[in-house]
Amino acid sequence: METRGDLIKKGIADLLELPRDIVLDLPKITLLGNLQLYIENHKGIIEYSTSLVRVNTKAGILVVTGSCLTIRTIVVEEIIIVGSIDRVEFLQ
Amino acid sequence: MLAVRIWNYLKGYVIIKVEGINLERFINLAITNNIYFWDIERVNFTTLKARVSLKGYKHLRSIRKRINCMVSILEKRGCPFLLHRIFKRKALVAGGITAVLIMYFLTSFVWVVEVQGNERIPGERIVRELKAFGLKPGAFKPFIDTREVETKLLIEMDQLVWVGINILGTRAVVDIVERTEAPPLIDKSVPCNIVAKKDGIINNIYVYQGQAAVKSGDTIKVGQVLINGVVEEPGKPIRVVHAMGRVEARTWYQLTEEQNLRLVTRERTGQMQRGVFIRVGGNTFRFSRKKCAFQNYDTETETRRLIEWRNITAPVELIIEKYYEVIVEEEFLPVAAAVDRAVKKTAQRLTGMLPQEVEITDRRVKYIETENQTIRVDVIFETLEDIGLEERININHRED
Repeated sequence: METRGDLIKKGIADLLELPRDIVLDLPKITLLGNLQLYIENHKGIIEYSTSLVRVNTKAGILVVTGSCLTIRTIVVEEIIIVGSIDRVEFLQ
Repeated sequence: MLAVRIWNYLKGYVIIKVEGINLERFINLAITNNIYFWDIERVNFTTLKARVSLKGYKHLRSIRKRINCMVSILEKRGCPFLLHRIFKRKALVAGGITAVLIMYFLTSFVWVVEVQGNERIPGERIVRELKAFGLKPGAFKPFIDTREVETKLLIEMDQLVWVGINILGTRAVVDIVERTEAPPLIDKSVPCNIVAKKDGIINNIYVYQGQAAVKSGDTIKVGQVLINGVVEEPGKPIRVVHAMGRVEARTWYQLTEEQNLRLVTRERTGQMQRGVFIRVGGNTFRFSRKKCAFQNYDTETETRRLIEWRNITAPVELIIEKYYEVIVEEEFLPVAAAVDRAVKKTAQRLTGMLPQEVEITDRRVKYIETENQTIRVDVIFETLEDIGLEERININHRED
């Protein structure tokens, strides 16, 4: 998925020590135990059910599996998923 | 999070049920349209439950058209709905407003008239007089001109020197100051005697008019005639005059004072701490953290009522205690110094008691030591004063 532009951006970010999540438009994911998942900078929700949530991000599709999953908050920039989280993985 | 929840409650929100096939697309579209969603819950494959603000719900309509889904409201929550429900009950709202209006109306009357500061005049009498001027329970406040009532009352009752009327809520508080009556002066044309108002020994007697009944050196008792208004001279008819004169007599006052030989002085160092308490009903709670750190201190207490509205006082009081640090010094007085101190105190008390123009001519001091390191000091002061008092002569009685 990485284009030539992304590589240049990555190089500049490394060189100037800029925060990568901003330069590369990457999601920032915070996991609070297995209770809450906080995703900053997402690209929309693909699938949502109580056992599986798929969220589109710049780094690929983030797949969250667990039980009793609910979306606490959803706005353009962030999603908060609460419930019992078993697995978080990226699919390219 | 709590703040957000309270804010949402105030603004009002709805719990919606969304039914359709591609609900993820519905969510994505909603968030790109800046519609705020929270607590999204999947019920089953085609159904979603979510909470959305009132404003957001209105915007949902356009999305609903683009995606084939059904949105229905499950529950309405928050202030706007609650208010709406209350205002639907018109009788209740009308009752509430009427109650407030009636309260307001009733508070524009005087319900209680209180008289303060009267000592000799009975309060009921003043209340009765005020009633005649329109200040009575049930009077309409705007019609009462307190200044006018004050003036009228002053004119009507000449026993009063000052009247102040304050209307506090539904109470009318009438402060009065009574006239202190001057001793009745007997007119110069009326015959009178001069009698003694105190026991004593005559020192000097100057007769301006009348006939001296006593001479200097005589011991006299209260009420004894000093200058006689009935003048009997041999070879002349009996005359009755208005006796005048000055009778100086030696009089005695005995005062007792107790003085502790252990003298404790408390001097403030200037250091001060404050303690704040809250009294609710009968219970007092400490509000400030620290206890007073001083070993020796004086306490000044100040009580503030938090709410004082009309004649209703809240059962909550704020108590502020100020602790002033003091240095306590103990000193043992020699007996002579203690006696001296006690005598000075009695002299001060005496000058408060005596009428003016009284001269202290002598004093005799006796003291005994009692237990507990105290001495009891008896001081007898000898004074020189005018003890004459005019007393009217009952002429009818004389002619019998």
